[in-house]
Amino acid sequence: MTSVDKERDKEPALIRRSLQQDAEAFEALMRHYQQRIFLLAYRMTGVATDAEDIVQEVFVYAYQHLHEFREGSSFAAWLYRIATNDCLDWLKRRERRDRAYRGWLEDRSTTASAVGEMAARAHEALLRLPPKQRAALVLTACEGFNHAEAAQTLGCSETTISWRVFMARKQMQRLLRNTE
Amino acid sequence: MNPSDMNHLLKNLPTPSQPDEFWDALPQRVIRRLHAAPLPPPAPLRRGLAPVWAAAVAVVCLAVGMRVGFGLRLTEPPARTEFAPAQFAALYHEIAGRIPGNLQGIIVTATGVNMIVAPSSAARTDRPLVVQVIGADAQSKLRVLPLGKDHSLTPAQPELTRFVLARSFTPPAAPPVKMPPLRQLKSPHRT
Repeated sequence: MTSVDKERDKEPALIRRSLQQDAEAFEALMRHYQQRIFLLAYRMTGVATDAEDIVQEVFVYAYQHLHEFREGSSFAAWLYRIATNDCLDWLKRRERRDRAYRGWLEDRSTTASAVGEMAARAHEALLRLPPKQRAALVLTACEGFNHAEAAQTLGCSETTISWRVFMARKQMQRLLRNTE
Repeated sequence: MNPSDMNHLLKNLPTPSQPDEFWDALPQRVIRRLHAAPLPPPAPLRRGLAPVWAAAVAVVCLAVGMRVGFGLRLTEPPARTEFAPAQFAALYHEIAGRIPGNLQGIIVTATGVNMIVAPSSAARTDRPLVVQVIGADAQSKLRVLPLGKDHSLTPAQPELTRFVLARSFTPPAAPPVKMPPLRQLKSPHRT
């Protein structure tokens, strides 16, 4: 049994204790998920500082609404759903979205040397995708969700996810070709 | 680029590496926020519940509006109390005194006094008709049949109107009291 599996086995108990206002239990849950949620937020927003804020918001919200979590279902999917919705909400604000893109361009100049140019271009293309397509692609390609899990996380049908992923890939191909 | 290449590329996208101190401090920051004043829930569920709240508020407003509207309508007092026979007589004599020989009937509604006046004094009937209309619709569509023959009233919407029919009183020889002049004399024909 891997350490990840062990952690997952502990989850129900940690959730029950968190529901009883046990801060340590919730802290353990946070430590288990915080980096994954941060990466998701960063891939969705492209701005590290905003991703940090989103991670905090997600956990605060999760704690306050933990009683709504259905025992037996996937805590990770529930958390990802909160995070994705938070990111989509964030992206809706055009001003911040534009700032994100500008911020990422600035960051890119400092990090481009350390990462592959192709990856940098791919990230730029990812940030240009429509938010819902981006979310579908991040969940399936980066987080390894299958379409059913992504559908559950985003609250839509598998067909919708398949279509969004297809369109996102097509758009990514086009954007990557254009930046060659 | 095939899908697997793209997946590989996306999985290896550059990501910022936060210092360990950040990850150590993050849970504590969240816990401190939770211990502080209760925060409003973040956007995801708010957005999802907004239409539900809007619909609920709309339904409540509609229900309250209907309750108030129907309540006012149901509790609205009758616009006019019924006339006593003596009042019928006084009213008849005052109006008949102004247009002698022509007055065939009087209809009292919530909006005023309406008269049925014959085109000439030859058509006068000796059995005057005074009708008071009490009910929901003071402008109810009354159809007055010829007075000399039938003396009947037929409401177009009988469920809306109640009639008090008094036509068999005997007009006294002279008015018992002098009435103030009527202000609401309508056109010679029924309005």
